[in-house]
Amino acid sequence: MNSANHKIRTSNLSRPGGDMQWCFSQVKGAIDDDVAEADIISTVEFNHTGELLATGDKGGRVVIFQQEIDNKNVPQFRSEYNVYSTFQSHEPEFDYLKSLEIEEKINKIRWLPQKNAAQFLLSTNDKTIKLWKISERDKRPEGYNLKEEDGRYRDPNTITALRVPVLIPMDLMVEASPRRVFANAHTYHINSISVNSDNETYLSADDLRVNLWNLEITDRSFNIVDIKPANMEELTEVITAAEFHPHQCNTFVYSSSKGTIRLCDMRVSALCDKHSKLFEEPENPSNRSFFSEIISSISDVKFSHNGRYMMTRDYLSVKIWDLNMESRPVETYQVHEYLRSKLCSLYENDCIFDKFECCWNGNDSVVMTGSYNNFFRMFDRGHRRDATLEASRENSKPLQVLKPRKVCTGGKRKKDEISVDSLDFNKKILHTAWHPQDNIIAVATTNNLYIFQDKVN
Amino acid sequence: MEVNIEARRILAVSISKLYASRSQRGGLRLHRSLLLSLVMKSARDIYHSSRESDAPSEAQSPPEEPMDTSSSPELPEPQPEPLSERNSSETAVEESDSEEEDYESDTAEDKENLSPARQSRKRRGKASAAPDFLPNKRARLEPGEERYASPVASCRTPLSDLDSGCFVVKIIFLLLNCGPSNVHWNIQVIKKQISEPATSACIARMLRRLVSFIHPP
Repeated sequence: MNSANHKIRTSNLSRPGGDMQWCFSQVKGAIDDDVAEADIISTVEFNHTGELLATGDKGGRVVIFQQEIDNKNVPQFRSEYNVYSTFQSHEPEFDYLKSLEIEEKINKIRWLPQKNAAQFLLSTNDKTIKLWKISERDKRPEGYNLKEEDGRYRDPNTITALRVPVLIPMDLMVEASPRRVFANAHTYHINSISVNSDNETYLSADDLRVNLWNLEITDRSFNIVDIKPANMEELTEVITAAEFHPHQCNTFVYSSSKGTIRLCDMRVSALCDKHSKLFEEPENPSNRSFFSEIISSISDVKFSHNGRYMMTRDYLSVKIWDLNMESRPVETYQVHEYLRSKLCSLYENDCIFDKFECCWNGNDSVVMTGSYNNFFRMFDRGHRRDATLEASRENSKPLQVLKPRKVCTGGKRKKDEISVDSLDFNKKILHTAWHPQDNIIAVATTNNLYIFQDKVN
Repeated sequence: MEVNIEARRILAVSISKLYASRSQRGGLRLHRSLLLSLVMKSARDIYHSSRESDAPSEAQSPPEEPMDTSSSPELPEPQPEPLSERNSSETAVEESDSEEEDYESDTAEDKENLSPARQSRKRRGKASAAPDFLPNKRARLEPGEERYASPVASCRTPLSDLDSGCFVVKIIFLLLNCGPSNVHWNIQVIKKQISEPATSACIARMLRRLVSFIHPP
């Protein structure tokens, strides 16, 4: 893989788009510009095979899309996804003790690896995690002895003969049922959940604590990280994200608002307050400003599929860390460095608090993250190329190739470039997902889900 | 001097954000409150360090300066000097922190009756006379928010929200360095008030007093 030299990527491209070109495939969601708050997408996640794509929204609903089976082997149409199941995962609640409303917004969805015919996923809001079983039903029983076809009970005295009910085919029905509810374990707001590779446990993290659960047991969880100070007035950092290692079931990481990542080994002790590794890059003093602390806060952390690297996202950049080197990241990619001079305005309009996520492609060669103006960025680690693409209704003709976009940072604006001041900061892409085995990506704008695939020649 | 004005503006914006975040759905967000308080701390440190460097040329209690209402998105980068001064003022803040922690070990009866001599251990700068670094206009509210909106229901707030509320109020007090002479800003009194009736309405009342103190009617 890459050497340990610290590489800093700029946004200049030698050849736009690199080797890969992306085409529009589908867009899901309402067309009108008036966005209902409940429709705002808050999380996007492919399952382990990529056949299913789940989204969660601010209204507490989960919508699952399924890849169209017939087209899976037709390259141009393999990224056609249709609605498979929709259900209300979380409802708004009121905590009477704290006099607080608990939002129903789905913060994270994580799929469990498939073990049988049914699919399982974990979805969480600020306080409660739920395990949902999604199962298909395509047969129904007919020929009951004691019931009529419409469900009315028959008088047993009228039955003269017995018959064996038979299963007859019916239209496919997809049912979602909550199998477990993991509640009352978090005082602060849950920001992450992560399923362990042992397939038996998972972690949930809030601002100050990380808890370990067994998927079967809902009335007990183990606290494995607690950074709450004895005196809350001494609070200096909070946990912003946490994830289990993809292969080592004893290892997990959590990121903080100070820009540090701690790797913990659960074999060392029951309470992992003492980290095994601390990943931190010293701050560049020339970049110091009022807002240095905010922009260094890590909003997302993701292990690479091979488990050798992890990626972190802070407000302006994406960093790739080698798990064997704690002193600095091995690669840093600037997502929208042109915003560094606008931090004051972004603070006033609250955009500086936006939490962008990031994701790896299946073979860990490309990483992707979102930006403003419905732009999203891809960084090809191997070819040292990056691209800026846009998810918009204007570029949504079937199989239309996405043209790379460029932001003009100063001086003369070239044709097709957009100037920083023209960017629409209300159109932000916070959530993106990459199919685990194919070049199909799902990009969430405020209330629409765009699906793109790489161009097939 | 522009740094000074910018610091004041950021302080005011931050305080109104903290105030507005009270009424957010889902309750006070700890992460956001922490980040806001860090920005306020930076702005306060830069403001004080630039005041100290201008000190010999200024009058004893400078009048409130009219705020520069033209918003400039560009933030003038603070000079490297404030960094070292921030370190020294941070230690000063920590000292006043530990002084306040000494207060906490006092018995309950003493908390309300601290003598002025003990209170004068709090760091007093030129800001003690009046919070002149804050702009001379009413705090901007988020659209649709009433100034005196009361929370949805008043019930007891258990520890976590208590902690968040205390933490927020504490940071504001430290930042403003308000002397408790004319208003009861004593942190122990406030904590006692928070813990006993234990309502978020109480925090709301204190924030309203704070805002009216900053912007007298």
